[in-house]
Amino acid sequence: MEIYEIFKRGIERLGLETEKEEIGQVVEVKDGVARISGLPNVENFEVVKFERTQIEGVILNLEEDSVGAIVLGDFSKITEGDIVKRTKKVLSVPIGENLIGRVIDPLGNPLDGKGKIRAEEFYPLERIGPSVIDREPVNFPLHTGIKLIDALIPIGRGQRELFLGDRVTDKSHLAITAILNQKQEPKRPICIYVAIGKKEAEIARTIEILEKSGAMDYTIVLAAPASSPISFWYLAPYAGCSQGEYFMKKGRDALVIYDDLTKHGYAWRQISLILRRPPGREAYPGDIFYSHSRLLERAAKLNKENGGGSLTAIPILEIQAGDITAYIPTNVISICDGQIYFDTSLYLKGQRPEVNIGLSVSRVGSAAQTKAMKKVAGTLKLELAQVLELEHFLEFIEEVDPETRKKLERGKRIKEILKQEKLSPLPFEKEAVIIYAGIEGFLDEIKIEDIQGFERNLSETIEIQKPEIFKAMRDSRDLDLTTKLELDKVLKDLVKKYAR
Amino acid sequence: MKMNKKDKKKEGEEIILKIARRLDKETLESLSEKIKKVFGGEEIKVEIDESIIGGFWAKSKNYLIDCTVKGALNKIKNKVYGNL
Repeated sequence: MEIYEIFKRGIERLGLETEKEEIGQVVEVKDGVARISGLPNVENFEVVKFERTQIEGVILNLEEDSVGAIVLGDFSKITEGDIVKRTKKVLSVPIGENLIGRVIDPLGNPLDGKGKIRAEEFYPLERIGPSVIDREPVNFPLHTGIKLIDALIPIGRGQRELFLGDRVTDKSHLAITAILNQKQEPKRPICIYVAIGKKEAEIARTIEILEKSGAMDYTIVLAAPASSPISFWYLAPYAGCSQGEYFMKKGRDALVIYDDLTKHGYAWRQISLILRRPPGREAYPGDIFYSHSRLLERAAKLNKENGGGSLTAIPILEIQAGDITAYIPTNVISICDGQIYFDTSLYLKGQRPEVNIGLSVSRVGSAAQTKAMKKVAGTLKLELAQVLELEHFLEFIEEVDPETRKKLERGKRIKEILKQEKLSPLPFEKEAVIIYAGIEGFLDEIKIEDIQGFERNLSETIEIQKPEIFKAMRDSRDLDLTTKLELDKVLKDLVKKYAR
Repeated sequence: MKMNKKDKKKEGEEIILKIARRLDKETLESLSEKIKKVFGGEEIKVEIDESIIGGFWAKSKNYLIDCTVKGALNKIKNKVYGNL
């Protein structure tokens, strides 16, 4: 009798009351998209459940007689006539501190075999970005650890900076370098790496890099690999953004890397065509711009009243044959606060990173630089541009005046110091001292092939003999007069050893 | 085949009622009346389906009432074990 009572109470607690449920029936299903008749009161972005298979779907299209849903699972198990029920829940993802260090799918399910994740909250995937009133100007740098970017095309916390380039270029590795660099940053942002349509082996390699360098301690990897349903490719960036928003709302900084939005565009095009939405340019649907703009508008620097957190977005785009005027690149360029263009011809010439400075820009500019970097790199872009122009002009001229020759030689050295191997980020103080050395002409007497060695030696010398230089720069984020004099002394001594 | 408006209307109004075993006339009539009231339909098609074990299952184009033993057991299974 007692057991009977326990069972009865247990079943009562499960809430099995029968009610009139709103339903629909599958009319057709193809490539991860189902068309369902019925469900007259269903809402956009609501989760529905296919009753027989218990697979979930998300409503994306509302028409007079039917609705369209993307299937969040194995769509091959769904058949015509299957009953679909409403859940009255908008698609949400689990978020919170417990997700840090984990590899998840766009629905928040763990993919790393480390067990269930206990979510602190659930955030909807789609959200309207913070309003203008809730924001403040981007004013704090997000150091990438890449000299060329931090000096010439600085990225600020809360900014949206696009990385675009051909397939061969190292866009992803540079973005990962930026994640690795956050380890040495004082106010470390939480990083979210969103892999869209990438090969599983490639994602596994990225995770390995992050784990080996200890970056998984502050990183969430959200993977929608090539083998996952097309719906996952489409949802992944929105889910990644929701993860970052949680930290931004808590007053912290977050960095989201969308790798890459080209695949996201392909996914939305495929879904839209199956949903019979009218195709536009390059067969993309009319709302392809909106699908990217509403995602990237969620990146922001909040004002103090709203916690002062930030969400930085680095979308990556793969272009074809260097054509940055294609449909999706022009769209995303116009949405973002700047772009970094990875040039195939520079890559083939062996320049690393293969960033085309002329076609790259950061609209936040020096507002996202430390005082030290502003001081040392203030004239760098202008000098480089002059040198490039001179090189171009003097291509077929043998004899040049000594002044021009000096300028060209210094330019060569500056180009050399901006070279950097992938996945080896530098702290900002090390970046600043070597750029300072180049700009101030300390390297003029050193052979170009010795410059990389000189750079390593300079850092080591300061660390061993004058650690107060780096400390002062780290603490004040500035290069004051005393530190500058100390640095000049170290540079002069070291240059003597290398001088021709 | 494209349905005309009249067919569509008819399909919308038809209610399918599944029961596990044959019921006496009085019970079936009273059940049908109640279901018509809830769904607002006019025609009821009664089907015998032993797989539902007990209770009844009624469905119109847009609504469903699952009051079967099979449905209840499935709900318990899903709540206890998740979507296995």
